Amino acid sequence: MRLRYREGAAARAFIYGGLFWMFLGMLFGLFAALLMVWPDLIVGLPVLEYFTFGRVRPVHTNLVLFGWLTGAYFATLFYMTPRVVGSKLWSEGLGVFAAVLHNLALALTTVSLLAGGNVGREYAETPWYIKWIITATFLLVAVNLFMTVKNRTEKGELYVSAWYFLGALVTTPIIYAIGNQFLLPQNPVRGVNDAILNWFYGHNILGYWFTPVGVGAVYYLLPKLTGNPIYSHKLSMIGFWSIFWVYGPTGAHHLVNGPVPYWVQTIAIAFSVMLIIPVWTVVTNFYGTMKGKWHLVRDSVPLKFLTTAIVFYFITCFQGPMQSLRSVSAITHFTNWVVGHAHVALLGTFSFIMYAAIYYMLPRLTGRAIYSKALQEWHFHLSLWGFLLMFVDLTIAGLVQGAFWAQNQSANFIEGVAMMRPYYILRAISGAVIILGQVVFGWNVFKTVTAGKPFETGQAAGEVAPAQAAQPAGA
Amino acid sequence: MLHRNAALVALGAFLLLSFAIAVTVALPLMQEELYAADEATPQYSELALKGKQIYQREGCFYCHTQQVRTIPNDAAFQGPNKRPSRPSDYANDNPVLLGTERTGPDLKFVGDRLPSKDWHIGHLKNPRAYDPRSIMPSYAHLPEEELEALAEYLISLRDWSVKPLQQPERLADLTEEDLPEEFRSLQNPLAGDLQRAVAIAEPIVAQSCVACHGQDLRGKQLTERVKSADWYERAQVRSEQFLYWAITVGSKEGMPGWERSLTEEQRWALATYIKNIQQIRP
Ligand code: HEC
Ligand code: HEC
Ligand code: HEM
Repeated sequence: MRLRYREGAAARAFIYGGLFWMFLGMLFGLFAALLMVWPDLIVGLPVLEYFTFGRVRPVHTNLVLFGWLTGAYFATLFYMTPRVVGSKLWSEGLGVFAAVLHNLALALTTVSLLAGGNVGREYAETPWYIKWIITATFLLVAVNLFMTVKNRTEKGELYVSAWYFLGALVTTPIIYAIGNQFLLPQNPVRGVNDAILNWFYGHNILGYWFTPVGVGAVYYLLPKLTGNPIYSHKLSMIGFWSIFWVYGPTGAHHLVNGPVPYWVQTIAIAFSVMLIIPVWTVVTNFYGTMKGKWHLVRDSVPLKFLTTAIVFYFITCFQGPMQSLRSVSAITHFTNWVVGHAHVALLGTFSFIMYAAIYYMLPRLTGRAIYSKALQEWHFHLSLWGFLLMFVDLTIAGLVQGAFWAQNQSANFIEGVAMMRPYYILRAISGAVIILGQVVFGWNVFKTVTAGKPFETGQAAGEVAPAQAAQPAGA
Repeated sequence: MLHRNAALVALGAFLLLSFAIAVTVALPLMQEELYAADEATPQYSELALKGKQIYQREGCFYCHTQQVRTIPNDAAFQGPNKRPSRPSDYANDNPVLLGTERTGPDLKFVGDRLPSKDWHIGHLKNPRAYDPRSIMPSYAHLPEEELEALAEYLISLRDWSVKPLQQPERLADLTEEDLPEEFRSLQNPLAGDLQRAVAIAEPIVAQSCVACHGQDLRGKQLTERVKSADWYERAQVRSEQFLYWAITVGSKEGMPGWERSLTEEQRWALATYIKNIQQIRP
C-alpha cells in the first residue's frame, strides 16, 4: 500500500512541529533566565531540582536551533525549492517521514539532556545515537530536494535562492559530522583539537546552514512581496561565492587569546574580517530590491519582519568581525555581550526571516488567508521591542562585565556577578515579552489553519502581483 | 554557465568548504605538539574522571571556562606559575571543556586556589552560604559520592608541575605547639608600625575576608558543620607567627591559603591586623 500525501504536506508538518519546539525552547530560555535571577527557585522540589541551569540551558539552545529554526528551514526548503526550479517536490511522503524523524530526534534530545546525557560539547551535546537520527533526517531532506532540482522543467539559470539551498545542503552534513565527534560514541580527537573541531562546527553551522537558507529565503520573499526584481545579479553572485569561501576558516575566532596556536587564531581573525564583504554585498542587494517599494512596509507584516531582519543581519555581521579582533575579544569574550550577539543573529535575524516566510507560505499551503492582520502587528511589535530590550540589555551587561574584569584583572570576581543582577532581571522580562509575542503568533496560526477565510494568490496583505524577470518562478 | 548546472553549484560550495577543512581542521589535527603532555598536565584519577563526567552532565561548563587567556585581564586566574593555559594542559582531556562564558570564575587552576575537597563539597551544596550574591545552582540534591567525585576533579584542575599546598586539616584544633619550626623564628617586618599594617590590611580584609569571616569579623557559620574563626577570640590565643602561618597555608576546613595570591608583606599586615584587632576596631 502507498500512502498519498497532498501537496505541501511536508512543509506544513515542519511548520507545525517547528512552532511547537519554538514555544518549548523559548520557555526553557525563560526558565534559564529566571534561574540566573533566583538560583534557588527550584531547590527542594522533587525531580525538578535536577533541572539546574546547566541542564536547562542546552535544552533551550537545542530546541530553538534544531527544533524551531531548522524545522522552519526544512519547511522553507520544501516550499521554495520546487517553486524556484519549477517542479513538484520529489516525494511528499519522504518529506513527512523526515518530519516525523525530526520530531522524534528533538523529543529524545529534550529528554536525554534533562536526564543528564550531555556529552560536553556546545551545540553538539546530544548522545551519539540521536546524532545519527538527525543526520538521517537531514540526508532524507537533502536527497528529496536534490531529486526535485534534478526533475526541474525550467532549464534556464537557477534562481539565486536555489544556489544557497544547494550549497547549504551539501556542506552542512559534512560540518555536522566533523563537529559531532564524527558521529562516534567517543571522540577520537583529544586535547585542544577537540575544541578546534567543536568551534569549526559551532560557527559553520551558522555559516553554511542558518545563514544561507535564511538569505536564500529573503531572496525568494523580497521580490514576491515587493514585485521588484532582484536589484543586481552581479551582487548576488559575489555575495554567494564569497560567503561560501570566506565563512569556513573562521571557527577559531571563538578561541581568540586562548590555548590554541597563534596561527590558528590569526587565520580565523583574517577571514572573519573578510566576512564584511559578502554581508555588505547581500545587504546592499536586499535594500536595492526594496527601492521605490518602502511604502509597502507600512501594511505588510512579513515585509516588516524582513526589513528589520536585514538590519539585524547587518548588526550581527558587523559585530562578528569586530569581536574576532584580539583587542575587542579581550573585553567582550566570555561576557553577556556574546549572548546578545547570538540572539541578534538567531532571533533578530533568522527567526524574523522565518516569521515572514511562515506568514507568506501558510496561506499558500493551507488555502486559508491569515486570520488576523491585527494579531500579526502585535506579533511583530512584541517580538521587535522585546528583542531590542534583550539585545541592548545584554550588550551593555557584557561591556560592564568586560570592563570590570579588565580593571581588576579578574580579581574580586563575585562583585562582577552581583553587578549583573539588574541586567539578568531585565533579560527575563524581555524574554517574557518575546514569548508573549509568540503566543499571539501561535494563536494566529492556529486560527488561520482552522478558521481562516479561503485564500487566493495575490490577496494577502502587502501582496503584489508576482512575475517579472529575475524572479522566482511559479506561484 | 555555472549557475545553470545545479551539480556545479553544489560542487563549487563543497570545494570552497574543503579549503576551510584543509586549513583549519586537517592542519591542526596533524600538529603532534597539540597532543603532547608535560609535567604540568593534569593526571586524572578514576574518581576524578567520574567527577569530570558529572561536571559535563550538569553543564558546569556553560558558566565556567577552563582557559586562562594570554592577556592581563585574566591574571587572577593564572596558576602558581603565573602563566596562561597552553595546549599541553589539555592533553589528557576528552572532551576538552574550555567553555565560552564566565558567569562564574575560570576553573583551569582552581585546584591551586582552593585545594580542599571539603571546601568544594560545602560550596557545591550551598554556594550562597559562602557568598549570598552567588548565582551558582545548589547541588545538595546530588548523592554524597558524586559530590566527592566532583570535588576530586576540581582539585585536580591545577598545575601539576607545582606541588599542592600542604594544609592542616583544621586550624581550630591546633595550638602553638603545632606551628611548623620554620615559622616560629620569623620576624614580623611590620612590628611597631601598626598604622602601616592597618593601611595595607584594611582594603584586603574588606575585599577578601569579610565574605567568610563576617562584616564584624567575629566568625560566620559557613555550612552546617564549618564555622570560620572569630578574629577577636583568636587574637587572644595566637602569636603573630601562628596567624601569619594560618593565613599563608589555610586549612582543609575551608580557609584558603593566600601564599600565592598575597605578598609576604600583605600577609604580615593581616596577621598584625588580627593580633591587634581589639585596639583597631574596639
Ligand atoms: C549559573 C551558573 C553556574 C553554574 C551552572 C555553575 N556555577 Fe560554579 N560558580 C558560579 C558563580 C557565579 C560562582 C562565583 C560565586 C561562588 O563562589 O559561588 C561560582 C563559583 C564556583 C567555584 C569557586 C571558584 C572560585 O575560584 O572561587 C567552583 C569550584 C565552582 N563554581 C564549581 C562549579 C561546578 C563543579 C559546577 C557544576 C556542578 C558549577 N560550578 C556550576 C556559577 C555557576
Ligand atoms: C572561603 C572562606 C574564607 C575566606 C575568604 C577567609 N577565611 Fe579565614 N577562615 C575560614 C575558615 C572556615 C576558618 C576556620 C578554619 C579552620 O579552623 O581550619 C578560617 C580561619 C582563619 C584563621 C585562623 C584562625 C585560627 O587561628 O584558628 C585566620 C587567621 C584567618 N582565617 C584569616 C583570614 C584572612 C586574613 C582572610 C582574608 C585574607 C580570610 N581568613 C579569608 C574561612 C575563610
Ligand atoms: C528563537 C529564539 C531564540 C534563539 C534562536 C536563541 C538562541 C540562543 C543561543 C544560540 C544561546 C547561546 C548563547 C551563547 O552561547 O552565547 C542562547 C542562550 C540563552 N538564551 Fe536564547 N534564544 C532564543 C530566545 C530566547 C528567549 C525568548 C529567552 C528568554 C529569556 C532566551 C534566553 C536565553 C538564556 C537565558 C540563555 C543562556 C545565556 C547564558 O548562558 O548566560 N532565549 N539562546
